[in-house]
Amino acid sequence: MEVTGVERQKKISQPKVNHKKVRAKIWADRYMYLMILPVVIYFVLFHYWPMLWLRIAFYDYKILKGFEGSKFVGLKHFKSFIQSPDFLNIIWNTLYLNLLSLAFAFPAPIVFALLLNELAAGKFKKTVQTISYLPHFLSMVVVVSMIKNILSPSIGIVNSIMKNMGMEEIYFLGEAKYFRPIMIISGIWQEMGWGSIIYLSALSGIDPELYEAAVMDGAGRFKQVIYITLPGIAQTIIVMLILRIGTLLSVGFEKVYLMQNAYNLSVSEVISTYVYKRGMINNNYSLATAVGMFNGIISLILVSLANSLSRKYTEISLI
Amino acid sequence: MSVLGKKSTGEKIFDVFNIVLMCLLTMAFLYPVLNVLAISLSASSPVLRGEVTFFPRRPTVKAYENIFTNKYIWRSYGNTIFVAIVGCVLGLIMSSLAAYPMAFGDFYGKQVYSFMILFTMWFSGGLIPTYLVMRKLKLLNTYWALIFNFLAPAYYIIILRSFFVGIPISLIESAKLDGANDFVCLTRIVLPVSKPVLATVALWFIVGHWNSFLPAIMYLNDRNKYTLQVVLHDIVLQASGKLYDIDAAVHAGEGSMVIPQQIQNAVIFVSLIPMLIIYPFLQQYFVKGVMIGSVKG
Amino acid sequence: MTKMKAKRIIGLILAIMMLATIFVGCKGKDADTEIDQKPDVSDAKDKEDDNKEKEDDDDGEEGDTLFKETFKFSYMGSIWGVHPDGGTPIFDELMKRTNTEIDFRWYPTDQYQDKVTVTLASDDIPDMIANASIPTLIDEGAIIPLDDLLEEHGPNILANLQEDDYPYMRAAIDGNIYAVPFILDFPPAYAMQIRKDWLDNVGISEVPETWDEWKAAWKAFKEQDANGDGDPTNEIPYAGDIYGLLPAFGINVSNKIGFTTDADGNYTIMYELPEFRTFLEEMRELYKEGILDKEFATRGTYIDNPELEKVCDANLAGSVMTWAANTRRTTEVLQELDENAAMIGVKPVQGPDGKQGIPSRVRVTPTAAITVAGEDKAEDIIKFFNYVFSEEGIKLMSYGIEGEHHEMVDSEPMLKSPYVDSFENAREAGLNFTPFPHLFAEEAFLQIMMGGQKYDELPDAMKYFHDALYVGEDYFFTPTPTLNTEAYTEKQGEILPKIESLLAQCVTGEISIDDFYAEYEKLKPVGLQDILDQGAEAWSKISK
Repeated sequence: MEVTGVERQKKISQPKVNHKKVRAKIWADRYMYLMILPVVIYFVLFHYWPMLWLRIAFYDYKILKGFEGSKFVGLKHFKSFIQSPDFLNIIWNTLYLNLLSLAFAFPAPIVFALLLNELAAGKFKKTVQTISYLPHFLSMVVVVSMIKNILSPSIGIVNSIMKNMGMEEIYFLGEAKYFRPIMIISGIWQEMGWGSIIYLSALSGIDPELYEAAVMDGAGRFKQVIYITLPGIAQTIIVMLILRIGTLLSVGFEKVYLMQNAYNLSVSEVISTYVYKRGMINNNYSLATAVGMFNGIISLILVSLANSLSRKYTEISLI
Repeated sequence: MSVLGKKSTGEKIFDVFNIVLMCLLTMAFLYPVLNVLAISLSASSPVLRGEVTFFPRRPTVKAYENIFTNKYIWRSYGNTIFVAIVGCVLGLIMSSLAAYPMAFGDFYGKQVYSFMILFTMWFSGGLIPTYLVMRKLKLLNTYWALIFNFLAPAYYIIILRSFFVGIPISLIESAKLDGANDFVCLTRIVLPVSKPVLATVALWFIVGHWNSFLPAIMYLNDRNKYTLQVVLHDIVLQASGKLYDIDAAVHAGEGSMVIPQQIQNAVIFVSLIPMLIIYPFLQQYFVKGVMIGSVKG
Repeated sequence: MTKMKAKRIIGLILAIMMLATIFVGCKGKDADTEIDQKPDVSDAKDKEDDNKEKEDDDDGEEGDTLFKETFKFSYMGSIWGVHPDGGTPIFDELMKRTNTEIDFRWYPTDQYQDKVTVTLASDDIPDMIANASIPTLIDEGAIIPLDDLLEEHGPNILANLQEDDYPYMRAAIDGNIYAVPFILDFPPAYAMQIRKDWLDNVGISEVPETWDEWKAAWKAFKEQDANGDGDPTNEIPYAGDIYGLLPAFGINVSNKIGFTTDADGNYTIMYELPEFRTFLEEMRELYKEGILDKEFATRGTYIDNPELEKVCDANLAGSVMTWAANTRRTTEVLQELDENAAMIGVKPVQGPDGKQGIPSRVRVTPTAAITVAGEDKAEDIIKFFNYVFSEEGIKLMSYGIEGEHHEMVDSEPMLKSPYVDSFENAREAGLNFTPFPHLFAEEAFLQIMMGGQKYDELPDAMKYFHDALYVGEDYFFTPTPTLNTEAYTEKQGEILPKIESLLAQCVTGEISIDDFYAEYEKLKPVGLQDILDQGAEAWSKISK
């Protein structure tokens, strides 16, 4: 990484002197513009055009009547979400689950990739890699039904082992306090292998000569990891971290919804499940869109914050 | 790495620990999948009694017969492979085109351009407007709807960009001095050294298309065009004899006569197959030192 | 150098592939406009050809058909499993007899509601939409009320509706009928079930019926290692949810939502009934004694019961209340290991006050609604379905075509194999085809359920199933529908899960009964009261 993103940014913001220079610059960058042309067209057509409908958040939107026939209600749906008696609890549940995941599930694939990297290349390493991705491909319904089976007091393997060891059986799904650990641990199990792919690909970008030089200097493997490997994938880790911070208010709907039950409702109600119950069951697209916008705005703020912090301290940024 | 230096005792202990840990993890990852396979190959009674763990009991391939005699399955396999390959190739081209200017450009409007891409990570029109756009563009009931729906996700563009940023900009600058334009730089310099990340993103594209279900069901009307996941969902639903709609289930009258869990598990296994096939091909690109090595060469 | 060559070749291949895909895409696009109208162009042509032939065939008897000119309408529905591509032999016959041409647009059941939504958003709305949420369609202003049309043109349809059906047919929001129904006249569905062999193991010879007898049996299951596996702690005397026991306390409810009518016939929710307190007390007692399923709140419900089936099959459940078919499956699965194993259907549990009850199958499902796009055709559509509900139509829809799907035995129609072998086979032919409004005869349903065999020929497990269907016959009650009023639609998602959560906490003893009611009352000002009030108002409109 000879030139970081920030230094490049500085290059861009050279003082503009006159129109001639501006035109000359644009002409010099003509291939760049040509290159982004299809991309811009694609994004406008398939992303920004549909976004015109986002204003249904301010209507009581009826599909058949369109905007002309639907009632404009201003911020009604935003208010109804924010003023809901459960609002704070739902936000807290969502944030808490995400912070736990950030603390435990985010580093897991990095550690896994590093450990894999320390294995001697060969069949064992390749096999472990391939197998580690498999859980990612099981659908949520299947995963949740496996979790329920494994943890069930009556037919589950965990409880039967505990019973054989003379321990008291535990009804894991029947106590709210186990909900978050179950979500996080099963989440790590599902996504650790798959998530490590990006880090493995970053690891393969590190110049082998750096390691050779380190060995010459007498650095052990641990030191190599600290001084070469980690800095080598730091760019990827930080980008992933910034992106992850942008999703602190979103939790995958399906898993939480499937794991939700009468016992854990107080900790398992998150934004996405709440919106589903309030909005999607009744096809209330306006409310769902309003909450989506609320989410998007907060996420955008969080990401911008994370991004500018990162730019300041690590000189790595998203754009 | 270990070949390069002599191992200290601590390192040896670490190696043993690492291998043991990997074995344990592998078991944890493998068990559910083996269980799925074993159930799919067992007779129904042992499955229902919960006796099947690692190995099939009273083995039978009935579940697979049931799946593969479905007349839509082979066609849907073909459809999915077509969508996945074309979608992956076009997706890689588009995402690279999108990422290159973000990494190497210093043109007017770059900030706006980057923001335009990033913004779509948190805001999207949603199902209905996207459907209407597809309809306006006359893409309904064509595979283009599926491909355009998943052509250049912002996330993939960011990943590509962050990899591109690691490529020394001097390489590009010197090529430009030799008269190369940006397209030449992208194809001759940037892409060849980005194999690991391209392989990663290619894998994401293929798997994404392979597992995609909702777009297929929304944008396609013709049963013969359905992709694998749609047909598989249907087989599972039929096998369970249940509808999601409880009222309808009451009237369908089948309640829960027999639930061939085997079919469901066979379906899961069938959808795992491509992963087992493609991954080894892509794995070769994740070998240490690909990138800088070829820059020098 | 060879590298360069290889790259060029790859580039060339990519270029060709792109061209090829663009070409394919263009072809797709050209066809698209037509495909929007009809699922498959060639298919539609085939149909037209077929029709011409049919018309030629029928020249002589054209006057017999319902419509002089071929009546065409489009029909959107959801379907699962084996689909008929164009139609089924039975539909073809139906269309031929009535001189109708239906443009069927079948879509997979999964995510069908979203498909309906996007279809409504497009300007290509079919004349009829089936299997969609009627309240949603009304809310969107997408469908039209049918009351007057039915009165005028659908006497056969109305003749087949009974008084109890109207609350299910009418929309809570305005009391109108919006859909043509699918009717299945087969009341038995659920059954109270007990392990006969467990009773033998613990030395109880009589099948329990009163509350005390049941409690004695449950206690014996719990204490005497009834399944004989050496572990005296793993039996679940009563497995599954607690809702199945509500009727024993005089609370006639058929789902966990819990709407019912009080002694005066007013619409209310079960928690409002005085009997509910008794129910809570008894459930807490049963839970404490370990008779109730420890996982009652996570075992699903007796309607949606895969989790419940698992404990039955694992030889852990002593008694359950669920689909009658569970007797057959459990018995079959367990008899492979122990030939004495028998899950049999018994009369519903009699509560402490001698109350007994079991919900019967609801006869009608409002199935297909006429959209605003099909308003002009509405009259003829109702006329068409009037034929479907005529005696001739019912016979065709229930038994198919004589000689092909059934034979007359003793002047009674008997379905033939393979159609009678399974519900899949039957549906493939168009029998008991639930996504399309019609009346499916009780007798035909039973024939398929029993695989076309006579009672005496049946294996034990099937006999148990047959018996379980009818053993509670004297105690059937028609459940009260859940009314989709405005308040219900808006608030239920927030309120009902909270009550469910309170209920679970109360039964496990985490909170007291008084706490339960106190917390319950707190939900009234935030929406529950609105749900109750609007429900009661709607009920008085639609129940008459």
